[in-house]
Amino acid sequence: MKQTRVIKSSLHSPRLVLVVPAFPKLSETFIVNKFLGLLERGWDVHVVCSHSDPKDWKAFPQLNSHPDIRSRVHVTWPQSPRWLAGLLMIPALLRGFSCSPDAAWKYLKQGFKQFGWDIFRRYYLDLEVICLQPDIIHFEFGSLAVGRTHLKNLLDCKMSVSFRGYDLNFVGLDQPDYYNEVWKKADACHFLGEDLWQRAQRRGCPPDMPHMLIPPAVDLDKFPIIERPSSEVLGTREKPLKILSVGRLEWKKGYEFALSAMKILQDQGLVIEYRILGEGEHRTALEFACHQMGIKENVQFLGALPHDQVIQHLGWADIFLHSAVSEGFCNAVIEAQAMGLPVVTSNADGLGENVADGVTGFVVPRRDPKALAEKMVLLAENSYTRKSFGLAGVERVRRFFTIETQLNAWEEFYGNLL
Amino acid sequence: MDRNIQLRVLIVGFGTSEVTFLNRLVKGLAEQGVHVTVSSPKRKVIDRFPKGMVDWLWAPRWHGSGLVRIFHMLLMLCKGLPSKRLKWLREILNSREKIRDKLAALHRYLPFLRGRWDAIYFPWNSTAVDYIDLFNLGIPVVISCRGSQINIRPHRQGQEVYGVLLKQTLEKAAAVHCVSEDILVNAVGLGLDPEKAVVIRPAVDPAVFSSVTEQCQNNPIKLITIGSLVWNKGYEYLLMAVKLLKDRGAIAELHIIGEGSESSRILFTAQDLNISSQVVLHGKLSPAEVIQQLQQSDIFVLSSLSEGISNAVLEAMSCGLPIVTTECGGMREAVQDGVEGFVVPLRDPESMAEALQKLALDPDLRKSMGRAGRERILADFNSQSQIEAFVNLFESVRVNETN
Repeated sequence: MKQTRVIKSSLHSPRLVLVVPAFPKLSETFIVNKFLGLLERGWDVHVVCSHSDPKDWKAFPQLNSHPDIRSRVHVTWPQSPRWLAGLLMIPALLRGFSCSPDAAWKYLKQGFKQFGWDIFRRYYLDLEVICLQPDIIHFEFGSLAVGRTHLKNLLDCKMSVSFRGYDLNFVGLDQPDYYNEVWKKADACHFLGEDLWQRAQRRGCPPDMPHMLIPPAVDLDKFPIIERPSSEVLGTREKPLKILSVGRLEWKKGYEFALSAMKILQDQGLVIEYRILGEGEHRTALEFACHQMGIKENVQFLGALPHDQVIQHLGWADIFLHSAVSEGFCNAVIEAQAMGLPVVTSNADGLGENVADGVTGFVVPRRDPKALAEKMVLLAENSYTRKSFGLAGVERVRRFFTIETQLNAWEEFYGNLL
Repeated sequence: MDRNIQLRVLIVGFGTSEVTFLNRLVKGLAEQGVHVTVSSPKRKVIDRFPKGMVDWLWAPRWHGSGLVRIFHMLLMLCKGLPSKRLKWLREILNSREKIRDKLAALHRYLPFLRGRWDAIYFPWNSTAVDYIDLFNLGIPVVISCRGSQINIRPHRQGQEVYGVLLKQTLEKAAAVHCVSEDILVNAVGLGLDPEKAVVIRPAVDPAVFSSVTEQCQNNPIKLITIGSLVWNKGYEYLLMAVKLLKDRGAIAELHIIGEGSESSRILFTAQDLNISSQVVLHGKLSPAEVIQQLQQSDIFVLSSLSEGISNAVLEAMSCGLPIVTTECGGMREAVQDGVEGFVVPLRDPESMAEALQKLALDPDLRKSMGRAGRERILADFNSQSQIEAFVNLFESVRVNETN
């Protein structure tokens, strides 16, 4: 990738600051895509993060294509050890007042009324954002916005927040008013899908909150469509049914229910091969489940694999299976559809919007091994359905989940804010 | 064998965290006149027992700076010499190739240079594997097989070495204690000779876990379960059963006592199934609070995927609670389906919900099953006979001094 990127942004284009925990991250490629895409489209985008590992930069050659890009990523100053942060306070004040004296002064003056002396601690943490004087500050995960909503008033900017699954499903569940300040202050919210938007309302988000549903996207060039031989019935000794799952080995992915489904298939006499790509702390539980159910021979745990090998396995499989009990939207399922694989998935969170039920795959209730097994049998017996689901999947991804579509949506989202 | 000569037992792998049933066993043995020595890095483990009841053998951990480790070794050497076991130690050192391994082995086995015991007892398979060279000391060894170290660990990928060593320890042991018939069968599958296996089931003190005369009638019905919040306990399936129960019109309150890494899984699942208001996570409670909670509950439920045999179920039975348990490990040996409660298949929320519903709708059934459970404990699981069985086990492996 040797293309030079043209940075069109001028002094007059609105300045957007994206707040993330770490940048760039392999598991959060979508943020890199969003950052570069909006930059190309003329937005003055900056990223503020608390970690940035030089090793990770190497994984993203597109980030190194223009020297300007590096200067748009800002790492906040160290917060621990405490004494170091204390020592750096003076340089922090100097930096703030030399970068943007008005903004820094206003931040401290107004903030002092609100927070008292604590404003200096906040100032230190917010320094990079203050220096940037954003028009819009966007928190890429809901939990990042908690405790930082004061930025909106003190910097006189717009504030928007992304909710991607984990933040609504797990964070602060034991505190009913965890997101209250965010619901009060945010100018707009972004959700990966309808389901998360509903969940947000159940957690107190007002129904009139300006919001947009923007699903994840995939880079189609990286996922070749694979022609599959249209053999008749699968699941026999000569032609076993090949099933693939991709995702970290965590309880959230509901693999135990997938394994129970495999047991049902095996008991029905189907010959199957099930491969799971991914690694995680739930592996012990899953290996034990395989042993206990007597399906060890037909299940392979292949660990976390690099992209090109994942593609190979996607090409190998007849069916993509996703059994999650909690899942923001799931890129792996989009990628499977992009490669023409029929999908059997649970209805956790955004998965029911990701897969068109009965068109590109089957969506069944979560925690229901019988339903998973039933749909897999249906696909195994029916080569026409497999084929047509696969084709419809490719079509669906081209229509709804391309980076183009996603960037258009982001432009609309931020355009509405200004 | 002469029962008049005091029996001396060394316990290796006692651990620093409190394990109630081990504490009870050690105390029981000491009360029966057995001279118990516990090896541990910290002296405070013996403070759990009345003063002078149990002896302590210092076995420091292999950590700290190099100087600290050398200092520890010198101290142990001073305490251990003169010793008749130097040949044994030399053989251990010769069997290690790298100098680092030699030092680690030296550090590990120096505490055992002196001291006379009639038996060495490993309460856990993993410690037996860690201290495998103690089997060559000429002292008979007894190992306990309890649960996941037999049922789960050997079946994981990458645990082949553990499997081999486990087999060696089971072969070399003079006797092997299993907490249930089920564990025995599994251990035999891993290389245990059934001839030297003895099943001694865990026991409870019926005076401590007493039943209240007037069983309470809660509305909504109160389910209780006790155990660490980890995957082995299958809580997600339990929550699904509670949800099914709700769908059938029987609202039940579920009280979970224990702590662990999966509390967020339970919180999320309860919220996802829309039963948050019915689920109470108590965290870890004191033994007295646990008993109080048991006495205030209607049904004890165990959703485990793997167990040796659950102490919590036995304690609940002792308190007179009817049981709903999965068919895991040795649970059938304590609970007979339809007598002390119900035994349901693994990973099967529907069957579990059905069993819970039967009990929830029928106070008389709860009462009669609870009573049957209490009687079962008094007959088959009381602590006195358990301690005697252990004393007999150690006596049976003892080698006559004159030989």
